[in-house]
Amino acid sequence: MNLANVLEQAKVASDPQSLLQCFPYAQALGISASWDNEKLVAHLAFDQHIIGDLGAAALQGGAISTLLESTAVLSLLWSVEKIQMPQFMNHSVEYLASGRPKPTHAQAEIVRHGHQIANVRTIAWQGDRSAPIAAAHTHVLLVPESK
Amino acid sequence: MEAKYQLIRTFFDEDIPFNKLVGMKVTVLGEGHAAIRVPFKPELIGDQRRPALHGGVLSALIDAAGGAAAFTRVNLPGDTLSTLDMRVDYLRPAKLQTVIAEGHVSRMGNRVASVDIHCYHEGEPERHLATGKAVYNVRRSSTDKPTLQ
Repeated sequence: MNLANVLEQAKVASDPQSLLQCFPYAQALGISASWDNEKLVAHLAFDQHIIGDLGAAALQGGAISTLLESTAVLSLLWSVEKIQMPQFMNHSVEYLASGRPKPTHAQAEIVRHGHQIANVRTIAWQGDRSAPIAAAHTHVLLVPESK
Repeated sequence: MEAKYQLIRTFFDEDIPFNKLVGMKVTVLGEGHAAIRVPFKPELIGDQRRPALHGGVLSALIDAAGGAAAFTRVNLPGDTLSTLDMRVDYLRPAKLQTVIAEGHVSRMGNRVASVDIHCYHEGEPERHLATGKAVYNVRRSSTDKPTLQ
Protein backbone atom coordinates (compact mmCIF):
# COMPACT_ATOMS: atom_id res chain seq x y z
CA MET A 1 0.00 0.00 0.00
CA ASN A 2 1.32 3.41 -0.95
CA LEU A 3 0.94 6.10 1.67
CA ALA A 4 0.97 8.88 -0.93
CA ASN A 5 -2.02 7.33 -2.75
CA VAL A 6 -3.93 6.68 0.45
CA LEU A 7 -3.32 10.23 1.63
CA GLU A 8 -4.32 11.74 -1.69
CA GLN A 9 -7.55 9.75 -1.79
CA ALA A 10 -8.30 10.55 1.86
CA LYS A 11 -7.86 14.27 1.19
CA VAL A 12 -10.06 14.18 -1.91
CA ALA A 13 -12.78 12.45 0.12
CA SER A 14 -11.98 14.57 3.21
CA ASP A 15 -11.94 11.31 5.14
CA PRO A 16 -9.22 11.06 7.80
CA GLN A 17 -10.54 7.65 8.86
CA SER A 18 -9.22 6.06 5.66
CA LEU A 19 -5.64 7.04 6.63
CA LEU A 20 -5.81 4.56 9.49
CA GLN A 21 -5.44 1.65 7.05
CA CYS A 22 -1.74 2.62 7.05
CA PHE A 23 -1.54 1.99 10.80
CA PRO A 24 -2.57 -1.58 11.69
CA TYR A 25 -1.67 -1.17 15.37
CA ALA A 26 -3.89 1.90 15.78
CA GLN A 27 -6.67 0.01 13.99
CA ALA A 28 -6.21 -3.05 16.18
CA LEU A 29 -6.68 -0.84 19.23
CA GLY A 30 -9.93 0.56 17.85
CA ILE A 31 -8.75 4.06 17.00
CA SER A 32 -10.85 6.08 14.54
CA ALA A 33 -10.75 9.65 13.24
CA SER A 34 -13.30 12.27 12.23
CA TRP A 35 -13.88 16.00 11.92
CA ASP A 36 -15.06 18.19 14.73
CA ASN A 37 -15.46 21.88 13.84
CA GLU A 38 -13.02 21.41 10.97
CA LYS A 39 -10.41 19.97 13.30
CA LEU A 40 -9.19 16.41 13.17
CA VAL A 41 -10.18 14.44 16.26
CA ALA A 42 -9.12 10.85 16.89
CA HIS A 43 -11.19 8.54 19.04
CA LEU A 44 -10.35 5.47 21.07
CA ALA A 45 -13.48 3.38 21.58
CA PHE A 46 -13.77 1.69 24.94
CA ASP A 47 -13.18 -2.05 24.90
CA GLN A 48 -12.36 -4.57 27.63
CA HIS A 49 -9.06 -5.18 25.84
CA ILE A 50 -7.63 -1.78 26.61
CA ILE A 51 -8.16 -1.95 30.36
CA GLY A 52 -4.94 -1.70 32.35
CA ASP A 53 -6.31 -2.05 35.86
CA LEU A 54 -9.32 -4.31 36.33
CA GLY A 55 -9.79 -3.28 39.97
CA ALA A 56 -9.98 0.40 39.21
CA ALA A 57 -11.41 -0.17 35.68
CA ALA A 58 -8.79 2.24 34.30
CA LEU A 59 -7.45 2.34 30.74
CA GLN A 60 -3.87 1.18 30.17
CA GLY A 61 -1.42 4.05 29.79
CA GLY A 62 -0.01 2.48 26.62
CA ALA A 63 -3.41 2.64 24.94
CA ILE A 64 -3.75 6.33 25.80
CA SER A 65 -0.17 6.94 24.65
CA THR A 66 -0.92 5.25 21.32
CA LEU A 67 -4.04 7.37 20.85
CA LEU A 68 -1.96 10.51 21.46
CA GLU A 69 0.77 9.39 19.03
CA SER A 70 -1.74 8.38 16.38
CA THR A 71 -3.51 11.74 16.67
CA ALA A 72 -0.19 13.52 16.23
CA VAL A 73 0.76 11.48 13.15
CA LEU A 74 -2.68 11.79 11.52
CA SER A 75 -2.76 15.56 12.04
CA LEU A 76 0.75 15.93 10.64
CA LEU A 77 -0.02 13.81 7.58
CA TRP A 78 -3.13 15.86 6.95
CA SER A 79 -1.23 19.14 7.18
CA VAL A 80 1.66 18.32 4.84
CA GLU A 81 1.72 19.48 1.25
CA LYS A 82 4.46 17.15 0.19
CA ILE A 83 4.02 13.56 1.29
CA GLN A 84 6.24 12.79 4.20
CA MET A 85 6.10 9.76 6.44
CA PRO A 86 6.54 11.00 9.99
CA GLN A 87 9.05 9.12 12.15
CA PHE A 88 8.83 9.58 15.90
CA MET A 89 11.88 10.97 17.65
CA ASN A 90 10.44 11.24 21.10
CA HIS A 91 7.11 11.21 22.81
CA SER A 92 6.52 12.55 26.29
CA VAL A 93 3.23 11.75 27.97
CA GLU A 94 1.77 13.32 31.07
CA TYR A 95 -1.00 11.30 32.63
CA LEU A 96 -3.35 13.75 34.30
CA ALA A 97 -6.22 11.54 35.40
CA SER A 98 -7.01 7.84 35.08
CA GLY A 99 -8.88 6.85 31.92
CA ARG A 100 -12.41 5.73 32.70
CA PRO A 101 -14.11 2.89 30.79
CA LYS A 102 -15.65 5.13 28.13
CA PRO A 103 -14.61 6.63 24.77
CA THR A 104 -11.51 8.83 24.71
CA HIS A 105 -10.89 11.61 22.20
CA ALA A 106 -7.71 13.42 21.24
CA GLN A 107 -6.75 16.44 19.24
CA ALA A 108 -3.32 17.64 18.18
CA GLU A 109 -1.91 21.09 17.74
CA ILE A 110 1.14 21.41 15.53
CA VAL A 111 3.25 23.82 17.54
CA ARG A 112 5.99 24.06 14.94
CA HIS A 113 6.27 22.44 11.56
CA GLY A 114 9.85 22.81 10.40
CA HIS A 115 11.56 21.42 7.32
CA GLN A 116 12.86 18.40 9.17
CA ILE A 117 11.23 18.31 12.56
CA ALA A 118 7.70 18.92 13.77
CA ASN A 119 6.74 19.64 17.36
CA VAL A 120 3.22 18.52 18.23
CA ARG A 121 1.18 18.98 21.40
CA THR A 122 -1.70 16.55 21.85
CA ILE A 123 -4.45 16.43 24.45
CA ALA A 124 -6.80 13.55 25.30
CA TRP A 125 -10.11 13.87 27.09
CA GLN A 126 -13.22 11.84 27.81
CA GLY A 127 -16.61 13.48 28.48
CA ASP A 128 -15.41 16.97 29.31
CA ARG A 129 -12.92 18.52 26.95
CA SER A 130 -11.81 21.05 29.55
CA ALA A 131 -10.75 18.18 31.84
CA PRO A 132 -8.01 16.37 29.86
CA ILE A 133 -6.89 12.95 31.07
CA ALA A 134 -3.50 13.05 29.32
CA ALA A 135 -1.28 15.41 27.35
CA ALA A 136 1.75 14.71 25.19
CA HIS A 137 4.59 16.50 23.49
CA THR A 138 5.89 14.71 20.44
CA HIS A 139 8.86 15.44 18.18
CA VAL A 140 8.58 13.94 14.75
CA LEU A 141 11.21 13.66 12.04
CA LEU A 142 9.79 14.42 8.61
CA VAL A 143 11.32 12.31 5.90
CA PRO A 144 10.32 12.99 2.30
CA GLU A 145 8.76 9.95 0.64
CA SER A 146 11.37 8.52 -1.71
CA LYS A 147 10.22 8.17 -5.26
CA MET B 1 9.96 -12.89 47.29
CA GLU B 2 8.98 -15.62 44.82
CA ALA B 3 5.34 -15.28 45.90
CA LYS B 4 5.48 -11.55 45.20
CA TYR B 5 7.02 -12.15 41.77
CA GLN B 6 4.27 -14.65 41.00
CA LEU B 7 1.66 -12.02 41.88
CA ILE B 8 3.33 -9.52 39.54
CA ARG B 9 3.60 -12.10 36.76
CA THR B 10 -0.05 -13.10 37.03
CA PHE B 11 -1.14 -9.48 37.27
CA PHE B 12 0.77 -8.38 34.14
CA ASP B 13 0.28 -11.53 32.03
CA GLU B 14 -3.29 -12.47 32.93
CA ASP B 15 -5.11 -9.63 34.63
CA ILE B 16 -4.35 -6.69 32.34
CA PRO B 17 -6.47 -7.08 29.19
CA PHE B 18 -4.37 -4.57 27.24
CA ASN B 19 -1.16 -6.50 27.89
CA LYS B 20 -2.86 -9.63 26.55
CA LEU B 21 -4.05 -7.74 23.46
CA VAL B 22 -0.50 -6.68 22.62
CA GLY B 23 0.88 -10.10 23.60
CA MET B 24 3.14 -9.07 26.50
CA LYS B 25 4.70 -11.67 28.82
CA VAL B 26 6.89 -10.96 31.81
CA THR B 27 10.18 -12.84 31.31
CA VAL B 28 12.47 -11.54 34.07
CA LEU B 29 11.76 -10.22 37.56
CA GLY B 30 14.32 -9.26 40.20
CA GLU B 31 14.58 -6.61 42.88
CA GLY B 32 14.12 -3.32 41.07
CA HIS B 33 14.16 -4.73 37.59
CA ALA B 34 11.86 -6.49 35.12
CA ALA B 35 11.77 -7.51 31.48
CA ILE B 36 8.72 -7.96 29.26
CA ARG B 37 8.70 -9.66 25.86
CA VAL B 38 6.36 -9.11 22.91
CA PRO B 39 6.50 -11.54 19.95
CA PHE B 40 5.80 -9.99 16.56
CA LYS B 41 2.33 -10.13 15.04
CA PRO B 42 0.97 -8.15 12.05
CA GLU B 43 -1.38 -6.07 14.23
CA LEU B 44 1.65 -4.34 15.74
CA ILE B 45 2.82 -2.76 12.49
CA GLY B 46 2.86 1.03 12.44
CA ASP B 47 4.55 1.79 9.16
CA GLN B 48 4.08 -0.76 6.41
CA ARG B 49 6.40 1.06 4.05
CA ARG B 50 9.63 0.65 6.03
CA PRO B 51 8.24 -1.72 7.58
CA ALA B 52 8.38 -0.95 11.31
CA LEU B 53 6.40 -1.56 14.48
CA HIS B 54 4.11 1.22 15.67
CA GLY B 55 5.71 3.60 18.19
CA GLY B 56 2.75 2.91 20.44
CA VAL B 57 3.85 -0.72 20.82
CA LEU B 58 7.18 0.42 22.24
CA SER B 59 5.63 3.08 24.47
CA ALA B 60 3.07 0.60 25.82
CA LEU B 61 5.85 -1.92 26.41
CA ILE B 62 8.01 0.71 28.13
CA ASP B 63 5.14 1.69 30.42
CA ALA B 64 4.50 -1.97 31.30
CA ALA B 65 8.16 -2.87 31.88
CA GLY B 66 8.64 0.23 34.02
CA GLY B 67 5.53 -0.62 36.02
CA ALA B 68 6.63 -4.24 36.53
CA ALA B 69 10.07 -3.10 37.72
CA ALA B 70 8.50 -0.64 40.17
CA PHE B 71 6.10 -3.35 41.41
CA THR B 72 9.08 -5.45 42.54
CA ARG B 73 9.87 -2.69 45.07
CA VAL B 74 6.45 -2.20 46.69
CA ASN B 75 4.52 -4.23 49.24
CA LEU B 76 2.21 -6.75 47.59
CA PRO B 77 -0.63 -7.35 47.76
CA GLY B 78 -1.79 -3.91 48.78
CA ASP B 79 0.26 -1.12 47.24
CA THR B 80 -0.75 0.15 43.80
CA LEU B 81 0.99 2.16 41.08
CA SER B 82 -0.14 4.52 38.35
CA THR B 83 1.92 6.23 35.65
CA LEU B 84 2.35 9.97 36.18
CA ASP B 85 4.74 10.80 33.39
CA MET B 86 6.57 8.92 30.68
CA ARG B 87 9.09 10.00 28.09
CA VAL B 88 10.08 7.79 25.18
CA ASP B 89 13.01 8.43 22.86
CA TYR B 90 12.78 6.47 19.63
CA LEU B 91 16.31 5.62 18.53
CA ARG B 92 15.75 3.40 15.50
CA PRO B 93 12.79 1.73 13.77
CA ALA B 94 11.68 -1.54 15.35
CA LYS B 95 11.83 -4.44 12.90
CA LEU B 96 8.97 -6.93 12.60
CA GLN B 97 10.56 -9.13 15.26
CA THR B 98 10.26 -9.94 18.95
CA VAL B 99 10.86 -6.90 21.18
CA ILE B 100 11.97 -6.93 24.81
CA ALA B 101 11.78 -4.02 27.24
CA GLU B 102 13.83 -3.92 30.42
CA GLY B 103 13.05 -1.61 33.29
CA HIS B 104 15.42 -0.65 36.13
CA VAL B 105 14.22 1.37 39.11
CA SER B 106 16.44 4.41 39.51
CA ARG B 107 14.75 5.71 42.64
CA MET B 108 12.06 4.16 44.81
CA GLY B 109 10.47 6.67 47.12
CA ASN B 110 7.56 6.39 49.47
CA ARG B 111 5.20 8.03 47.02
CA VAL B 112 7.02 8.25 43.71
CA ALA B 113 9.04 5.71 41.73
CA SER B 114 11.34 6.63 38.86
CA VAL B 115 12.29 3.94 36.34
CA ASP B 116 14.67 3.79 33.35
CA ILE B 117 13.61 1.51 30.54
CA HIS B 118 15.15 0.38 27.26
CA CYS B 119 13.84 -1.73 24.38
CA TYR B 120 15.74 -4.05 22.07
CA HIS B 121 15.19 -6.97 19.71
CA GLU B 122 15.67 -10.42 21.18
CA GLY B 123 19.32 -11.42 20.80
CA GLU B 124 20.51 -7.81 20.33
CA PRO B 125 20.47 -6.39 23.87
CA GLU B 126 23.09 -3.73 23.11
CA ARG B 127 21.22 -2.27 20.16
CA HIS B 128 18.56 -0.10 21.77
CA LEU B 129 15.40 0.65 19.77
CA ALA B 130 14.00 3.12 22.25
CA THR B 131 14.71 4.33 25.75
CA GLY B 132 12.19 5.57 28.25
CA LYS B 133 11.93 7.27 31.58
CA ALA B 134 8.73 6.80 33.53
CA VAL B 135 7.53 8.14 36.85
CA TYR B 136 4.90 6.26 38.85
CA ASN B 137 2.68 7.37 41.69
CA VAL B 138 2.89 4.81 44.52
CA ARG B 139 -0.18 4.42 46.69
CA ARG B 140 0.70 2.65 49.91
CA SER B 141 -1.93 0.39 51.45
CA SER B 142 -0.72 1.28 54.93
CA THR B 143 1.11 4.21 56.43
CA ASP B 144 4.04 1.95 57.28
CA LYS B 145 7.32 2.87 55.68
CA PRO B 146 8.27 0.52 52.86
CA THR B 147 10.76 -2.22 53.58
CA LEU B 148 14.17 -0.75 52.89
CA GLN B 149 16.25 -2.83 50.52
